[in-house]
Amino acid sequence: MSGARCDGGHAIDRSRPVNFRWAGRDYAGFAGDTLASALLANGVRLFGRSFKYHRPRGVIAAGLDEPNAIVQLETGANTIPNLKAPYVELYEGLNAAPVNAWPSLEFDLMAVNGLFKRFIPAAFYYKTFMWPNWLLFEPAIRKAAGLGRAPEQADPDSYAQASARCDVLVVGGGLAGLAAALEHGRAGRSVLIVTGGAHWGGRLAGGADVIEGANADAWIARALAELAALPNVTLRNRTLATGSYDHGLVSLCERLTDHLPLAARRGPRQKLWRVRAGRIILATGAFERPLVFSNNDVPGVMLAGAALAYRRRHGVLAARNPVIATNNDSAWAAAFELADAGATIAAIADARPAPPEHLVAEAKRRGIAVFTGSAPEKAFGGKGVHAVAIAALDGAGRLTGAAQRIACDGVLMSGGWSPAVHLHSQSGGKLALDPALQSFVPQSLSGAPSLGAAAGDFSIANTLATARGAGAKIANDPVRPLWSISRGDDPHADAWVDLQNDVTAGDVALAARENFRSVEHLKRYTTLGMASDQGKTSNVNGIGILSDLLGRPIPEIGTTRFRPPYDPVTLGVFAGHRIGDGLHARRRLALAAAHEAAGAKMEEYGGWMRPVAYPRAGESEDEAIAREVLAVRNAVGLFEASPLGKIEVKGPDAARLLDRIYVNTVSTLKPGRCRYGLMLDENGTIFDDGIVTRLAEDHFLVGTTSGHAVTVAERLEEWLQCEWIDLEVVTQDVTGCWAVLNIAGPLARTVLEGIESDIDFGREAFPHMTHREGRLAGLEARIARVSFSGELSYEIAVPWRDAARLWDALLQAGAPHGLSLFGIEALMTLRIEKGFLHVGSETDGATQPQDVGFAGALAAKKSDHVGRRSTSRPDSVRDGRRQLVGIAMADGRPVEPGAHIVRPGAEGEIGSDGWITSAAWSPTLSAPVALAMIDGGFARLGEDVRVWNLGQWREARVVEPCRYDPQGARLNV
Amino acid sequence: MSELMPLQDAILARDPGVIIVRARSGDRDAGIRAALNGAACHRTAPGEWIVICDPAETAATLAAIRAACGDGAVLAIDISHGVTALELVGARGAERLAAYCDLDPGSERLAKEGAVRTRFGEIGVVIARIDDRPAYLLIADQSYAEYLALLMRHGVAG
Repeated sequence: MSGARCDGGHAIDRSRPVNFRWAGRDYAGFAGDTLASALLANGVRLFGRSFKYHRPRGVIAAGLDEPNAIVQLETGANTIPNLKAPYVELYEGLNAAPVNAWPSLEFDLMAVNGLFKRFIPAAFYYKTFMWPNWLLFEPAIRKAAGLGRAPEQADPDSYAQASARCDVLVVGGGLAGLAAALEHGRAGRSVLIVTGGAHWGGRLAGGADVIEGANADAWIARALAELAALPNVTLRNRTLATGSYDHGLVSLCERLTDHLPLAARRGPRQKLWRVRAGRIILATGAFERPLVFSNNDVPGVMLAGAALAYRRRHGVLAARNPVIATNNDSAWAAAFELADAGATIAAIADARPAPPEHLVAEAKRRGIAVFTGSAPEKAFGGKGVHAVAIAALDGAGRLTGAAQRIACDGVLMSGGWSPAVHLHSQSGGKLALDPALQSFVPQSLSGAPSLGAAAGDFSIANTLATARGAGAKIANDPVRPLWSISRGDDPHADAWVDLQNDVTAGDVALAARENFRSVEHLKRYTTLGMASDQGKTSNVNGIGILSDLLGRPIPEIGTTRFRPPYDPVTLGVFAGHRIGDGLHARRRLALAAAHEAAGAKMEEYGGWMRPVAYPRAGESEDEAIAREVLAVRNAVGLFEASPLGKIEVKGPDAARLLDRIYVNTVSTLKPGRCRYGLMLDENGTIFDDGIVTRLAEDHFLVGTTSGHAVTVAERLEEWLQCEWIDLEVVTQDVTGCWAVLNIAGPLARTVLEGIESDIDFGREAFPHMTHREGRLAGLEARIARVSFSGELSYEIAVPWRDAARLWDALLQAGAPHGLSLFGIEALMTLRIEKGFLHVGSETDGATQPQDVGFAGALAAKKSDHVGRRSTSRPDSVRDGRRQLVGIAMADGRPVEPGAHIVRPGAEGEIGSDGWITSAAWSPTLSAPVALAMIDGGFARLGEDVRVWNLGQWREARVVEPCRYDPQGARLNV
Repeated sequence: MSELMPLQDAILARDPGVIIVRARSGDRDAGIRAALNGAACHRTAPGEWIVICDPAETAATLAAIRAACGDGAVLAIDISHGVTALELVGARGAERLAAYCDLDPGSERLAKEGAVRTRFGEIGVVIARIDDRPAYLLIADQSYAEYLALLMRHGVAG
């Protein structure tokens, strides 16, 4: 074969040469070429090696239905595996390489696999390599699988997303799509028309067809000009519709910079569009089917329509001396047009005994040999076809009689056309077999009609009429179904059906023999249709072969389910902004800048970036934590507690609501008082805890754990809106409105009394678990005297934007008293020393109040509350439930959360009695402290146990959770 | 490409007064609107109003709303401290809105109420229509200000 440029090529610009590199060699093409067209123009016919057998393969298609020419684009961080060469737009400096070939495409060592082909057919891995152990072979088999190489560096590109709405979304930029867009655009509707390729006009562009009296290119140009001038119409090329979802939602992937040289790329590489359309028009075209015969995978055997596309779009003759093999009219037109461009057609073999007379006559006029009622039997060649054997077909479609061998440099085949029904099916549309086309066509789907070839309509006139609302159902000329060409009934083991996954007609027969007779089982057993081309050129052939083998009509076989995406989509475009810092919506503290300026190490806790600790110069993190703990225990510390949830609850029934929500009774709380409360879910499981404060008779402030405010607020609203609709109460999450600073330590009061305020901080005036409102440092403030550290402690809430002023005032007042900043880890250490519960650490999806020492509160509450009934189920009251205890390590070394508690003396396989839920090194006690949930924990105080963690055994004792100031004397000062 | 254009004139930081009103029952709408003094009032949910006003008028507007609503199951709270607001202007601003929000700018609800609760990226926000330039006011919890800035920068060259 000597592929070469010819006339034509509406997509290329011959005045702009483009240099590129393929398989280590330099080549030249033109702007507008694809990688495949440029390589064909340079005479390249070997594009890759097949997946399993490493057979030499050439390009067969001209678009994203290509199964063979799979390439690795670029290197390093920019490398992209498994792109289809006909779908890669050529750009200056492009560097591409074949996949699955070593050391080279020409000489691939793994081609030795082909010698063992009969031992490794489809699904061999279910039946072989089992002795002595499959696991011995699996790694090697997996390593041999796959095509390209995944990138090993981070993706340097960014990706965008956007939503859009329109009255009409037209998918497809060929005749049908352009006509539909014109019709709706002229009617004043908002129209978005998209095409996956760079150019408009579809299969007709660059050809000699006449549309409404004009040459095809002229008609297309006029249509595009009119559409571009309409303000209500948007055209997007390089925009592929990848999926159709419920309620008129269609996803589009727009390629913004893939066609540009690397150095010229700016901004996001691709964009994911989420389009909601009032109406979707599917003008998605059709895919040509290969013919399935022996050695139909030799390079140079390709689709006739693809060869025509290369000529029309890129001015490339894929073969100079081809044989045409077909069962329908389209390949004849391709033959004549290629002949006009300079090709010498060696012969046309049509499976139909009587193709249209005018076609036969034209061929004869051109001196082209014609074989009717005939089909190719075998292609000859290794790395390029050089001959094909043609034989007659009998009435049953089997080859018969002597075959004639015809020299050629290409076999251009057409087994018919299958409408691209993917988006139609994803939209919920049904399919029916068109007996003339022998392919599935869409049945009507309101809101998403199919047009043109996508509907099985290949008539220009009828397509235009249908786009304008006046078309009729077209009757296509029948093709002769020819699913698998052979002499006998058994399909050949070297007749390829799915070229990308190396599935042969023999493999389909194997699946049928082994009783995998459903089309879904055929797919999974053989992997037919599971490669990156998703069976666009193989599915219908495979279904047809199975139909013949089983003697069941094709509609009974059906199709596999169509799922998005229509073509592989890069993961980056699905991620969009959700990478790096954008992966989660993180919240920043009111004093984030101040913490960072103070040297805080920041980490994410519950969606908030918070200080872990404030290591000083020369200090490790652990040393900083220990220092901060001791500062709070012995002097005074300052901590930002702004993420603590704050929900206002107001109304005449506010107390009733909260009595139903909390385990504890809230209605008895007096204004100005605080109470610790537990919230349960309906299963009786602890859902949240916090301080509830009564601000006034009908006004409460519900405190939640940090990061849980939104969930608790939603839960309150759900109850109010769905169940307790008679309660007169409203709620509002005000977490982000109030910044909270916690000052804790024996000198906390002294510091506060050094700041201008109208609040009396005296012990009697402001006792533990009370709340005051007033002014502090000239700022409106809500102050609760509550403690999570076990020391004298105040949580001071000011309007968020006043946080810095409060911070400065506290630092200034605290400086003479050695005020120290402390972070989350110090706070956790303090609360573990006190044995205080932390929801999410000590609790899990089964923990109920009685498990963590709140049985008394449960029993004392007389009125109903959420989860109450569930806490009295047999499992909730049985002995041996996991209960909260402390653990003291005998060796005095720290222990890890998650370490398992086991009874001493147990041997062999033993169960865990529970695990460490929280642990820290206590600088206060100079010992490790830990909390745990263990079976029947309350009754096991004083018991010696063993602790297992990551293969290590240690001794420990079960103790009370509170290891410091159990009487609470330091709180009531 | 439009993504290469600068955004300085399309995304403007704003500092409005924002009041949220929650009421459980009764027809409060007329009373709340009557109490306003030129402030924009948007009903964003059953029993919920977002009032956007000049920051200098916030205290007076809040007092007027509270007086109009009286006691009972009603909360009127100045949440100005708790929000960050961005004005998205023109085609570029609308593009930034579309990048992270599925809201239909032409929706009946937005046209009728002037503001809606919706999602922007991964967070809940209020979007208020300012005028037909087009221009929108995006109001979010101020703790997400850095996250919003990240979204506004993402996918834009330069």
